[in-house]
Amino acid sequence: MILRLAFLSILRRPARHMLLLLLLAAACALPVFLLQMTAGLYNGLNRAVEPFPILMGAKGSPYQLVINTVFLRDHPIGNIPYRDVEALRESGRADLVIPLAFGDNYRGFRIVGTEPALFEYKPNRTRGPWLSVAEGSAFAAPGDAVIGSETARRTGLTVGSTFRGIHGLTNGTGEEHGGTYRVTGILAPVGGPYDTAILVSIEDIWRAHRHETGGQVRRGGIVRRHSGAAQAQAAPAAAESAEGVKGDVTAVLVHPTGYREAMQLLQEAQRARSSDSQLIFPAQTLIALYSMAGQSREFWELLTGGLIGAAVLITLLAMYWNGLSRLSEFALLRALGAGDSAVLRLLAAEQALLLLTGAAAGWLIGWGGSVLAAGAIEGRAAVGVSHPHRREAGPPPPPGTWRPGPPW
Amino acid sequence: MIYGEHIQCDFPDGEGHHLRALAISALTVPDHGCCAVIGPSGSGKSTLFRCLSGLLRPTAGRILIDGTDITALGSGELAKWRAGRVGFIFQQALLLPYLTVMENILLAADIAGLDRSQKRREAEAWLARLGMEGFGRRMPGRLSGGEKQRAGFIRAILTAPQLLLADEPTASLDGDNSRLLMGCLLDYQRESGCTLLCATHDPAVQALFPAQIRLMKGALAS
Repeated sequence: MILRLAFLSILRRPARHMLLLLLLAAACALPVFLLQMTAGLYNGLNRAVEPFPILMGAKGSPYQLVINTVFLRDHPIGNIPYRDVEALRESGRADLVIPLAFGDNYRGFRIVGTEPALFEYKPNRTRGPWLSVAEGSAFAAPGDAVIGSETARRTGLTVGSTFRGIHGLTNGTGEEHGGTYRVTGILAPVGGPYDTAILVSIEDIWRAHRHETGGQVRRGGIVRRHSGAAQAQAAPAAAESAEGVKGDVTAVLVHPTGYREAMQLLQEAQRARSSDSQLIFPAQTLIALYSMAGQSREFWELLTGGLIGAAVLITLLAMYWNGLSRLSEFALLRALGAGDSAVLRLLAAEQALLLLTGAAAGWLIGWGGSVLAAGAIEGRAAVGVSHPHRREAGPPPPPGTWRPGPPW
Repeated sequence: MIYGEHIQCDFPDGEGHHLRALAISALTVPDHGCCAVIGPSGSGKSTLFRCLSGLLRPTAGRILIDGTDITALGSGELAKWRAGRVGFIFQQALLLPYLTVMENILLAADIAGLDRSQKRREAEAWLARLGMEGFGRRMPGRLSGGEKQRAGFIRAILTAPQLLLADEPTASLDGDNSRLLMGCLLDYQRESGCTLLCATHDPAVQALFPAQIRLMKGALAS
């Protein structure tokens, strides 16, 4: 009887309870939205960096190296010679060394020169390859290109489509150069920045940038073109006329054979102070970024806490006034034989129903809002804002399996 | 039978003292009694009703109703006793605005834990008898003052109370509705044999009762 009365009181007087419900919904929606977005952002960042246990690139800001190579944003620091790639391979401390070369784009989507081994790369041994071709095949001949799922969706390119690269890394406004690329494959979605990549053979990048060096081979020389010069990004210097001679690369993805080997690689890189390259752990760089962002995050958390506190206070006040305004109703119920406990139960049941309804509505609004917001920024932002329900498939790694990550 | 002795009700006056609202040395109402409780405003009529229904515990004295000393009952027992034994008719019908007329009528029966379907049939019969057939699904906001009071009357009698307390039941009604309601009340009292106490200022209503309890400044007047 009490529950029925409480339910009818709310159901048949919606206007009376609307303000309270709105307050409750707002008080719940705000933290749910912020928490979902924050968690999604951190998930997206962590997922994006997972395939890059170690990165080698030109000396300079490690943040810029990570942002450029992992998140496909900003400009590269510069280039390093291909012999650094070979040195890493010969060290025996890495089971996979893949060069990456940047410099061109198509309609703002970065063209990444690399080697076919990238399609076999499994960052986590318990899962499948990071970049797997869902449709078509990997590049095999000069001019072949494999595009990310988001690139395909937003450019309309399909297997068999052709396009020409544009020099530089800005939004597709520039001079077309190099040969024509033909799409041979489309990647399965990875939920990260490489969904917006265009992967081509690194030789195609070298070939396209021959003119920049005037046909001169730069052996060991680093092309220092820092960000800020829009059209002068660090395009990998090309080999001279002779095919098969290696040019420069922008970054190197290194998967060490183990934790000890990763540390040895780092120590060697630190010892070689005269070298023009640097070796970094992107996860470590990301954590440093997190700590830098921590202060502003604390501010937002404080602001959110204040808003929630104010909403809770207003809600409690509204509940109090709601109780006071119904004293005559409660007096009637007592006169009809309801005990004090029954009247209290009625009030509690009503407030509980309101709280549950408001909280459920708030959770839905917050969650739905975060899903919409994540969808709205998907593809535009450097990382996808994923949700906890969007976990990558696959069992957890067996105990003792080395997982790429920072050495602390 | 209602029997009260040395009933006193004091309220704080806000200045550290107490105001005596009721001081009755002896009160007796026989079984099946039908009395008008009369007196000017502030004479203690409502306070007496609150004491007799157990809504207000007297500062001193005892009240026995059908042999039960209600001043000795705990609050839970009092509520249970009130739900089964006492019917209230107020100056305003006090129908809950978010319940239909039928739900309002059944409210007291629900609180008393009586058989809902049987009480619903009885309520429908009463509504028909009082010229309100088909009014059960209406919301109270769509009823006139007289209709609301009749619905309040049905709510009060549906639990078959042994003591029916009517506090100025005709104060907000016009002459016709007043006569109709008082006719219903007195008919019901005769049919059920309950004890009926009716507080009123209206001389026409007072004249309908064979006995009167006159209160003056909280005490029984001679």
